[in-house]
Amino acid sequence: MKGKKKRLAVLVDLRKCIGCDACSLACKSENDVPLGVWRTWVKKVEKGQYPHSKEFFLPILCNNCENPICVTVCPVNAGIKRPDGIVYIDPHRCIGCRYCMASCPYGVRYIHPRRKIAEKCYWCHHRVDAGLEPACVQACPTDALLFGDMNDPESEISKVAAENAIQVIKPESGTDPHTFYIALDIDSVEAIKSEDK
Amino acid sequence: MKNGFAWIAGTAVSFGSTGKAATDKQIDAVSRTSLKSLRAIPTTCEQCPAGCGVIAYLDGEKLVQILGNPNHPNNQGGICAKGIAGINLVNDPERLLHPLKRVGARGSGNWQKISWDEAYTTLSNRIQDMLKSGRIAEFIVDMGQDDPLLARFLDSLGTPHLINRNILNNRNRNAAIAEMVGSSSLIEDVGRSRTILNFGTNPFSNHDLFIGIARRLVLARIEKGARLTTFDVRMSETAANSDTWYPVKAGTDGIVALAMANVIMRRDLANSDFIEKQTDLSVSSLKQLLSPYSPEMAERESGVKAADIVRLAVEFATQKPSVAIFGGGITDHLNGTENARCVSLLNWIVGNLEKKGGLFFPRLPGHKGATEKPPPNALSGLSRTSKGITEIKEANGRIDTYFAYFSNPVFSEPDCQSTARQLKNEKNVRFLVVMDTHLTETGMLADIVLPAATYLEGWGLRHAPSLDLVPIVNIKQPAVSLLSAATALRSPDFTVGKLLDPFFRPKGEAVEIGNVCLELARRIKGNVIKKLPFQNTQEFVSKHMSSLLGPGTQEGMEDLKKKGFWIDQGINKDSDPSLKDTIDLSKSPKVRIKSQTMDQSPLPGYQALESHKLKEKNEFILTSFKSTLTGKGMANSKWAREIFHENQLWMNKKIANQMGIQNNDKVRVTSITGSLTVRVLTTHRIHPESVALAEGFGHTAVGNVAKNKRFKSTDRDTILIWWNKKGNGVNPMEIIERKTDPVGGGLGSKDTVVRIEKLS
Repeated sequence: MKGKKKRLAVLVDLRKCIGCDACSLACKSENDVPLGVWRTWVKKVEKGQYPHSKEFFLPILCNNCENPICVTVCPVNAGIKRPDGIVYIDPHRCIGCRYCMASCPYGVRYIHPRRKIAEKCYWCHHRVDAGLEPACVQACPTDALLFGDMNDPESEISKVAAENAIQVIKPESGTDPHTFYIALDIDSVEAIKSEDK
Repeated sequence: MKNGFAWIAGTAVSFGSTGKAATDKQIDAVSRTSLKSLRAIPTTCEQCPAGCGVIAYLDGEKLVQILGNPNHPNNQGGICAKGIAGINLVNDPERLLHPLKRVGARGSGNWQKISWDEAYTTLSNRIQDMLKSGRIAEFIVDMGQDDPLLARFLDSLGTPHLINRNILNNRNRNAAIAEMVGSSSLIEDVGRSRTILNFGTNPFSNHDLFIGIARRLVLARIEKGARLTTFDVRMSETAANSDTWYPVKAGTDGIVALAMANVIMRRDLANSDFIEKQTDLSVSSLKQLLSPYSPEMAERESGVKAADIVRLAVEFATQKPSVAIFGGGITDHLNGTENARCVSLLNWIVGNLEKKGGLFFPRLPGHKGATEKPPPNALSGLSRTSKGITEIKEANGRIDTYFAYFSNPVFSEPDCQSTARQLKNEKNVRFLVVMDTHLTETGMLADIVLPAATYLEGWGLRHAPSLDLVPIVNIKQPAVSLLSAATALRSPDFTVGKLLDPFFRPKGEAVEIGNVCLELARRIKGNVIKKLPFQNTQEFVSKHMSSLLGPGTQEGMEDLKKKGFWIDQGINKDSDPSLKDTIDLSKSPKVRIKSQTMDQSPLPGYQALESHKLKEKNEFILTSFKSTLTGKGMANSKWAREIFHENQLWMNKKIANQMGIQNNDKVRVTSITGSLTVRVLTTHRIHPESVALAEGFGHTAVGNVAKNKRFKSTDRDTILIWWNKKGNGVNPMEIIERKTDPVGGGLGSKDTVVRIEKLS
């Protein structure tokens, strides 16, 4: 750890993503996510004119931001940011008021259809605490998803992040997101933004 | 024994000393709710032919997660959506769990529960009758999935008719490769290539070695800087992730490859040493053969620019190692075999056989003295398999009993409506038995349906080809319904020994096909039982394995169960040439570019498809494609259907707009065999002369999820199906013509010309 605090992060290498949806399904089974809502999904964006067209795949998951606005707005203090950076919702406190959903710039939260409380991706912290990687990272067949401690210069994720240009979605929101992307296509991000409206 | 830790201890490795591709990562996981360790059972996935090593995780008795086996040399921990959806297959509330007998007319859909005993008696009596009167050829077995015990059972019966779907799916490809090199498959070493030309295969979504090859392609491209170029009529997932995509007119890939080969030969960039020594043609005769195929001619036929062809050809011949790979997109045509031979020619002229980053013969496991040999290759089955009931009827074959195992021809065969008519006619097919996990469209027409165990509920061995040239054997062991010790004690057939062994029962009354064959053999007796002297599938697997491993088996079997696979580090390596890491090509037969058996065209050449010359403006060539989220075992998967629940007709945006068709408009698609109404997806990702439809939609049976219906069940999710208003797509097989490539004998299922009319 080199004396520094842990800061967990996910790095998505979009050059390696083949749009196979393994992450979406691994998450559904790991976290028992009901139909109609997702914690992680793969956005597919078409771009360009034939024959110079292209399709982009963009896996979306919670950014577990450094300044999580969802935690700030929660009226019952159900949103909690752990020291290692994971943001999660205490299911015993949440009253399902949707403030956090309205505040989240990424739209990654949903109301569980049966429990009526807010839920989202928390990088499978039950697995992380047991020394494992999140289910989506473990499932990814092409190693497009990386998980690790950004503050540890020896971790694979820091090494890859140091060697490549990395971006985040909507940096202007000021939340300091910690799901990073390599080769993030600006138009794919625009496509998400236009969907929000 | 506690169920807690099932991870592989570092000391458990007992095989080999080098550990070439073997890693020893832990495979444990924790429960999300109780934070207790989950029980991890390594096994082999059978959702597609790739045979990836997977680990099934159980919370108590319930299957909760399936992830890739990080130690498996092929998939190296990767898994696809199909593999994870195995959970849906096992836990599906709509699974077929009891043997059923038809009541009323065939196809009326009224069923009566029967006992397995009755089902066995009926079937064994029919088989005995056929054996006695010498009519065993009237027993048709339609296999959607290979099983070693089923294969043995059929062998012991003599010569029943076989319809082997795994062979049929790749028939043109296998025929072409077998003709040239004797083995029906070759391993494409894409992970170590620098230049990869991909003709019509989609390894990022659907491939016979799916995850293993996709992973190696991606890593070669991103981490080692390989160039991947894809030729396809539509932008497949692979094309989207290639360096360049060349949309090519359907069925013309052959001439592109020939023109490239011509450029390489003309510029003297070919490996003439390999051509002279290892192929049956000389450099000069090859030059002569290729001289008519100029890049300009290829441009006129295919639409790929001549300059691009020349550039790619030079790159292919100089930026080595290079490899040309191909798949269904070019072989499922009436000139499919020819296309495959043309693309292979590219590999031969640069000398790509048994070379790093090129092509390799598959390495098979097992020492020389082994009595249980892995099946040599699909070649032996190639001549024995019929294409389908239509072809059997055309050859005036009589059918007494038609047994379909994990096969659904009424849904998945081209021109499936005529198949349905044939199977429905009781004069044609006197007795129809279907064994599957669900009540499929074919099952609806059956006289008896039998509940099959899923791959997570049975024993088996698979000899999947290894991508790293280390022979491997995968074990399939039951993960689900491993009974607890307490339940085992209460069981009527309890013996003390069973406490030591995993003792399991598939869900409901489902049974493994192997056990069905063994029980039938016991009832038929005679010659049949002599060849199947096993109590159950587990005994068969351990005997088979001990024969492969040689002495010291007990330890080996236990280790295999813990690891899920076995790497053959070369027992008696010298005695069996197929085990050697390097094959001495000078001692093996030459590559036969000139065919001895394909009389129609002894030399590879380009055959233009007459039917593809479109006459009207509203005519298109229909391509069907497979997605990761559809296919065998996926039809009723709620998670897969949630993402992909309706197949829209892909149409080039420009052309569609010229015809006044907008995105989501409804159109009628008509071919000779029928017509469909479908919504259009206008896109820039398809060739203007082609339209594309995904396979695996438009189910009328299987289950409510497959039919996109919301319903109440023991699974709380099914009431949440939100895409029920959208319809469940169309089955492209209804309008695809049943035509055969005369050279290879495979189906030309991507050659149907359709007319498109806008519906107001």
